[in-house]
Amino acid sequence: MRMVIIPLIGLLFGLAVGMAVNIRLPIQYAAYLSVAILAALDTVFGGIKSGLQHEFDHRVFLTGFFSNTLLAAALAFIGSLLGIDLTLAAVVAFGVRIFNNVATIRHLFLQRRKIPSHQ
Amino acid sequence: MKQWPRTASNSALRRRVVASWTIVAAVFGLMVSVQYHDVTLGGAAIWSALPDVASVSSRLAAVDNVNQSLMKREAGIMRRVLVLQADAIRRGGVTALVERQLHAARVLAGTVALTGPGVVVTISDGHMSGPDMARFITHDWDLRSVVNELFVAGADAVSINSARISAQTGVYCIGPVVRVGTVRLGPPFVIRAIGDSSVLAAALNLPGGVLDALRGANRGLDVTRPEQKRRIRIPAYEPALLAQTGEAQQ
Repeated sequence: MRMVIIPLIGLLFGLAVGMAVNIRLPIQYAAYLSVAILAALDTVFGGIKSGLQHEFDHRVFLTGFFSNTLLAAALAFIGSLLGIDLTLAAVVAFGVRIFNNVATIRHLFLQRRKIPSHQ
Repeated sequence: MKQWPRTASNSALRRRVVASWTIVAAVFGLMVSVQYHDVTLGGAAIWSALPDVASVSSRLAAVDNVNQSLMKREAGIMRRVLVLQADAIRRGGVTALVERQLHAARVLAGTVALTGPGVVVTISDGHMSGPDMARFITHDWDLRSVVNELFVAGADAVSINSARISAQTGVYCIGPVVRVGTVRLGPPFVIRAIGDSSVLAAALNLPGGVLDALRGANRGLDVTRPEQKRRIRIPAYEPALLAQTGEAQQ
């Protein structure tokens, strides 16, 4: 139980800090944060899935979270420099992955066989 | 609820797993709430759904930056040119004559800042009372009359607040503010003039002259006595971009 409570407290702490601190995003960076959030959400769902599948590795999880997030934002940034809308690619790719992960998590909860995913 | 790997029975590993989840959850929460906060406040994050707008906006900001830095470079080069010019005048010879004429032309055009003796006069609005408040406001023609008087009295350079009056500078009321050239100004209006300060002061102090006309007519305008000063600095005429952002070279 403690393994769920402590990360939840961390989540609430992060939410509270973000709400309390008045950070105004410069308009040119707003799109990158939204892509980064999408990548982060994907990693979190991936972590839950691998936890349920007894394949969770905290090193993979931690490095994956930060590298995915930064890479997504960096790709979007490079895309904006080159006039290629890579934000759209990130939204589609991470969107598909998130839906796959959530479906797998649901199946695992319902004690069914794992459905095939893109991973 | 969550099932953890069997190897995690090792408590050190368990702790690391919890720590990694906590770090990720905290960072994720921070990112989400920053974005949410910005969206609810109507900030820039709203545009993240419209990357086109964000991209155009960032490009505009970039072009603006380039323009600003070019103008700063131009100002730096201009300063160096002026230093070299002053040097040439000091050395004398044929070039000195040309350079002196060029300097005089620059002063007349208002493209260089000028320092010297002169007068300062400040005009402030009167206190509004009653329906005929238009009388208590400083108008463009009030400023024009003072500026004209100063030029007639032989001023080399005149400025209103931060705006240098050049040959192309129009003074005109636009709604609540007075537009002087490209700059919009509000009261109090500090008018500075470089020239023979005693002559300038005498011209302004003429009984029944422009300042008396402003003080009279029951308008309640607050017009200071022209103050003669040894050293007044009048800025160069500024192009619109620099003037509006206030990053002009001084």
